[in-house]
Amino acid sequence: MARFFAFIALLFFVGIAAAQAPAWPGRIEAARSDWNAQTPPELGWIAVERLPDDWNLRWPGFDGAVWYRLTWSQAAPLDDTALFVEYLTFAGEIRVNGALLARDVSLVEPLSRMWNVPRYWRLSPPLLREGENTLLLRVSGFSQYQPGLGQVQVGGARVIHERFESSRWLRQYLGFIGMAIGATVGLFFLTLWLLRRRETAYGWYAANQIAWFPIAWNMVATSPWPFASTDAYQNLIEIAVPLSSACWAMFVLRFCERRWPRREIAMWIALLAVSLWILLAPHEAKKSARDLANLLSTLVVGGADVLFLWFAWRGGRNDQRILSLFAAAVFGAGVHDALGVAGVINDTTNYATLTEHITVLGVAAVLAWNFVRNLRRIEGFNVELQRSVEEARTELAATLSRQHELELVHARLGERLSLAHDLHDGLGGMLIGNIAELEHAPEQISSRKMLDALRELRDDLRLIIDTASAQHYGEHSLVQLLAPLRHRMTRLFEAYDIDARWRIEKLGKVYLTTTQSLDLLRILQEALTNVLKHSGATRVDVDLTNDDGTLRLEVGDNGRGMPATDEQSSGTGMRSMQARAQRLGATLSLGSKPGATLVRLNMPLPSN
Amino acid sequence: MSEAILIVDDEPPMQARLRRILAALGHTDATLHCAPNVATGKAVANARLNDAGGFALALIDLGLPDGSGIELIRWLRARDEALPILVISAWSTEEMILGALRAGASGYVLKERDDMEIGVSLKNVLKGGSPIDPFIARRILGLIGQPIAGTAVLEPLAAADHALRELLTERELVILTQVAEGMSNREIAESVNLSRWTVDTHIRNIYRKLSVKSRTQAIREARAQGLLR
Repeated sequence: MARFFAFIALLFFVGIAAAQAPAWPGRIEAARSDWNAQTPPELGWIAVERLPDDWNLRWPGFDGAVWYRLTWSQAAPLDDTALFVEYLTFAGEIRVNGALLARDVSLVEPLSRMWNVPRYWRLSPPLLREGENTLLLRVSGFSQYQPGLGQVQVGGARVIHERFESSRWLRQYLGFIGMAIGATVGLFFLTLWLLRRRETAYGWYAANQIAWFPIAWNMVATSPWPFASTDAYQNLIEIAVPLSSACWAMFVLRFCERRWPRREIAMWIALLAVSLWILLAPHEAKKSARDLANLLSTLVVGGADVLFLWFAWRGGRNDQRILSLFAAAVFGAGVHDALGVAGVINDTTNYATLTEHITVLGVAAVLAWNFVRNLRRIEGFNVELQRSVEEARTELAATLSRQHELELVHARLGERLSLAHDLHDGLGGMLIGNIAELEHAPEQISSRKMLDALRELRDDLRLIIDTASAQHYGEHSLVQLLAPLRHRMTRLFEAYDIDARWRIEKLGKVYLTTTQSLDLLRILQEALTNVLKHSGATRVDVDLTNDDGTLRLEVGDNGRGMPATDEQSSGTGMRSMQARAQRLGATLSLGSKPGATLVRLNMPLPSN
Repeated sequence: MSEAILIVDDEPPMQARLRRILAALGHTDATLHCAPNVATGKAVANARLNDAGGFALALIDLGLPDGSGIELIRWLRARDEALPILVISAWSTEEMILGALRAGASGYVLKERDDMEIGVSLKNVLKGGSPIDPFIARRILGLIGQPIAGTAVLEPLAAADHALRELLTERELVILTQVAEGMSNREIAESVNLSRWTVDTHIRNIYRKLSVKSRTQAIREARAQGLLR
């Protein structure tokens, strides 16, 4: 910010100094000669009223060398005298009392460009004389480019040096600073835009800075390099002005989030036309072409800046308002400069460059401000995001747990239904059968048979309870459902010294319906109970495998075998097993001889 | 060692049935001490524990007219660490049996089983065995959040008892899993290369940890509520 105020202070200082520059204390005369003249002409001297002087006003269309002769009367003391020459356009040599003080590199095309180089010398005897002294300046220039001489001052060394320093600051140092800032900022915004094409405003600002570069270069260039002629060099500089103005207008529109396609195209067409005119205009028309381009540029920039103020202060953002003020300041300076160049006002000090730098700082400040604001928004957004993620998570957890509860409820309902079904199918059927038998022929029912019937009912109930309670904790494979029966029967076999061997294979993925599981378990239980109670075996083998989609159950023992017409109880047991096998769609076979009894069940498994 | 057996059951037919089964195992009526409720059970037990060397076995019904058999089990366990306590249960739920085991029971018999089966269980316990069923093993595995394969668990595992999981050894977990699959103690013993008595010891230890766990937890909870200091 300190630099900003330094600029402002300088602006006022220079302005005041320029206004208060004293008139030349002696006579000023000018005379024309050709490009290569080494000595001033004898004739043709014309008095010049004041400096700065533009010879095109006196001798329109004259290109070549003009000699300025300034005389003054120097009073003692002689040891505190200094000479200041503000500029000469474009190049030349300077002599005091016939002695050469300075001679520029090239006084013919490609002409040196010393139009922005202030000069300063201490003058002392023998060069300086008491009384009349003569300052001779030979200036080479073109009528189209404001040829002539800037202010010239002789006086006390201290005052003159201050004058020189402030002029050098404004014309040279600021030029370098501006070029550096412009290039840096231009490249910076160009990179920004390349990485983020959506920020078209910054892209146009970069274009504006880059287009401005030749103008900034012009402030510090001392030769038309890389061009061979002043005209070619000037063409580039002069095209740069409308180009950068148009880029600025585009920046203003985009920065205020506006798009005016037809008016934008019209502006670019006008630009193209004026650029072509600059390129094609004959040498004599260069000045008018330049003035036209400058006028157009001023209109474009002025219009853009007025729009900028309008957009910004009618519902715009704060950054737009701040920047619109900077733009207005630059425009004011630009108008001033344009008037100076056109000769309407008698001040050729270039303020646009200075205010341009301030605007660059403004744009940088706005960018930084936007950056910080975006960061804050991102941080806020993060907090917001975190909160909504938290909310979503809570909601999801609630939904999931509700869903889980529902699933549990459904599962329990399903269990209850299947339990009721099992009770109806198994116990119910058996009860009805027993009741019917009792009603039909009560006298034929032995208490033994009654006991067996009741036990059968109990065993069924146990199986149903085991199955139902196992399923309460999730779906179980057949292996899991088999576990309680296997465990119980094995313990009983062990108690009776019967060696029970189980081989259960490939059943991990077999899931049966509850009714099917019950029937299967019931058949197995019946077969094992028969072995336990009737066979007198010492060994029983239980094989249960999934053999390519067929469930095979084999219960084999080495007992006494089962006579074809056995006691009634095992007969009813066998009948019940057959009935269950039929329900399972399975085949049940019994092979029995002394020392080897085998019950075999083949059940096709439902393919998933 | 004492021959005395404590029977606490409020149903006379069940008492008579147990006497019959025990008689078949060689226990005379004189060694059987019966009580129909918790209060009498405590009185009978107190008299015996104080002067006559305790019991060889206690059979406790869970649903008693004046209180819960679980409470009586806890009371007995507090007075005799080593006493085998069997729960006599009707069509009890797994919860009840698990509660009894956590209170300190050493096993359980189901009333609905044949006399022969009950006899086998009693003989086994008197010889120092520890009866266990697949569903109990499954419940214990479920408690510590380690369901066995083939089981899609619907109950949330959030309540997994990590402390109990820490207490159980790998071997004990293997045995629990095998029990849950329906293997008998003998089969397990063969499968892990142990004697079946060692398997019994492991199961006893599992039960002990289950009850110790529940006791330390009770103490911790009581402390937390300011009931204990």
